[in-house]
Amino acid sequence: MGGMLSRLADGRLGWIARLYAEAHLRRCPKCTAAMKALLAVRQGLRSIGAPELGLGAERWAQIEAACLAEAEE
Amino acid sequence: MGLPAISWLPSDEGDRRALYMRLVKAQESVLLRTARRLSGGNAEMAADIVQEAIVSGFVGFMAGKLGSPDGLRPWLLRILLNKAHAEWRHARRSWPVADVTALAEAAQREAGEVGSLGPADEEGRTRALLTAVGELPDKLRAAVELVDLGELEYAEAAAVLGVPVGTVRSRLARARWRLAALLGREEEWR
Repeated sequence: MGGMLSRLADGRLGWIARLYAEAHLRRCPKCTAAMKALLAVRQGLRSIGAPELGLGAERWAQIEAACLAEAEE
Repeated sequence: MGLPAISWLPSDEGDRRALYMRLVKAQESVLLRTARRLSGGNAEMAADIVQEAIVSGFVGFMAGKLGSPDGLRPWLLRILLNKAHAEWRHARRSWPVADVTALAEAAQREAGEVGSLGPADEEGRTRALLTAVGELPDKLRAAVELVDLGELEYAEAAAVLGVPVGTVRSRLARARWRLAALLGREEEWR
């Protein structure tokens, strides 16, 4: 069930398995608690970090220069 | 520099370099997102890690070590994880060990609320989560880093790690349950 709930959290279960898992969750408090914990972990990891900005032109110029320097070695 | 002849790569050095830059720029967001999360939201450290990974990748690319353009993303991510782990081991030494315990206590107070992982402040939460990730065995840690921090599809993570998709799925599941256990939210899944 552990692997199934992890895939359910990612929306990666086929529909039959999803129906089975959801039906099971409705009547199993232990799995429901585990699912809450798992979703909290998943959501916590995915909310780390500031909104994404690009590297910026200045950083790209540094990267290109560093690559050129490697090529010349 | 005499370049090895690879069918899909330009033989001219300048052209090959320009191609690498073009291909790498298309991977900017996934590299940056993964690096930023791995560095706990530290934008400067993340940019440094991405730069190091791109420059390391460049050397191999110019030497013809990449089999096809499609392989670039998993290849760069593998390099990025290695760079990030080196930085991370260094950074974690300065993080207070008590974070996980504090997190677990706060989580127990808030038990039952979906999505709450206390402590309330974001920085403490981030550190505790990343500290817990750092305590995972290497194989489990890589799965969670690629799928939850990098937001890769299972198949992409499998390509990075060189394992079957089913292996990624099971490692990811085990990693998440371990994290939940480390964070005091649930007994470890058996």
